[in-house]
Amino acid sequence: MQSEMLKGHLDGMVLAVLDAAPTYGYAIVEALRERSDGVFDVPEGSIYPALHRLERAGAVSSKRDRVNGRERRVYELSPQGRASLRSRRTEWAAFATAVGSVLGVSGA
Amino acid sequence: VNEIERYVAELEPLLRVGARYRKRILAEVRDHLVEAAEVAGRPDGAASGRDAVQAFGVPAVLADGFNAEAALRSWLRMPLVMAGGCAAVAAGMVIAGSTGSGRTVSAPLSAQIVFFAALLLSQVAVVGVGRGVSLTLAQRGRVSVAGHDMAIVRRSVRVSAAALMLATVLWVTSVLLANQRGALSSAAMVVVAIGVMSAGAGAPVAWVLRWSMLWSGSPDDAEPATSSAGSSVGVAGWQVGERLVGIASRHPVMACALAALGGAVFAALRSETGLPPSLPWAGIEAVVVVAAFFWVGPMLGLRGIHTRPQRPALP
Repeated sequence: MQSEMLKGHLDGMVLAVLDAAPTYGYAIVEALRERSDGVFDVPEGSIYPALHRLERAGAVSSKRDRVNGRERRVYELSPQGRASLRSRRTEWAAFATAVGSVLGVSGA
Repeated sequence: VNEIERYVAELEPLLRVGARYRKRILAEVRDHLVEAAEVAGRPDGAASGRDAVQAFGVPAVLADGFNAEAALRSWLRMPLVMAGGCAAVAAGMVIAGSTGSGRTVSAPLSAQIVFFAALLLSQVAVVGVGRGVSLTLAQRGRVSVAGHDMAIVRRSVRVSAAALMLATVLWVTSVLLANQRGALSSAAMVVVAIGVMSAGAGAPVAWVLRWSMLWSGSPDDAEPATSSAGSSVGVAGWQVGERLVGIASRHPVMACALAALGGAVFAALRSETGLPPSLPWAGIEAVVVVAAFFWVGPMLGLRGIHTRPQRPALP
């Protein structure tokens, strides 16, 4: 998939992964790849500026923690991030339906 | 591992961020790459490292992402730092003023002019800081910030930094002149006041200069000439300043008249020589307020940037 198409949605998808459980950068990349059946194959590094951006906006918080015997920076969704995710889901559903209708894609 | 360390070493000089943030970025990148190489688990360790590095992305592109985020964080913090600088300069003046000898000593006209010019510049600095802080607060909770909003924040910070620096030089000069004339009683307190003012203005201005130089020519410097009304959505509760700005930009004549009147009354009230001799100062204040509103106003987005959307021409 074109990474340009993905760029505008990366923040929302990161929030969705963190909605399941707090986790760290590498695990987020793996979750994105797994959930998309390998379709979203973005440069792995691009996840970090997105995480830092979300952290600045207060959508996620982070702290150093021990995961699998290793020190990691673990990210967690904040209540603000949860609210943001809800609104992104609603917006996306409306957008996808509208585009699907225009393109004539069934089941959109 | 060598591949990973090489990658980290290549990334490090490309990062235009503070030391603490740089350390955090490099630690996260290294952790990620090491884990990716281990998970790949190829017999050839070097090949695993190479794969991990390749999947991670080009260092220059990655650095751009971090740099843009760091620049945004810094610019959004600067108005608050500048506000601290203004407060420190004001505190310095209060300290200097508290050492008044109590004797009636009339300052020479040159000292009065210097004092008055410092006062005017301080007002410009305060307005610039106020505009920057208002817009910064309106961005709270927003993941991305509109380019024209950032442009106004940058200009506000630069205007207030320049005005604060000049005002401080003039304040210090006026304090020294007053001290020379014997209007201030404690030399030690004068030194403290000058120190507080210099540090208060110097530290934030140096910080602004540092970041301005670090980010000169950055792609996000593009500043569109106009912006649409209501672009600064922000989070409810942080928009009071932006609403006032919206009112001022929609009613420039009324805003200008109120500001000029307020400035003139302020100039007249602070005069110790009675109303008639203070009128020229009040007049100058009013003229300067009007001139600043028209000259500095557009830079701060106080005037002329909220344009009405044009109707498309009918065929």
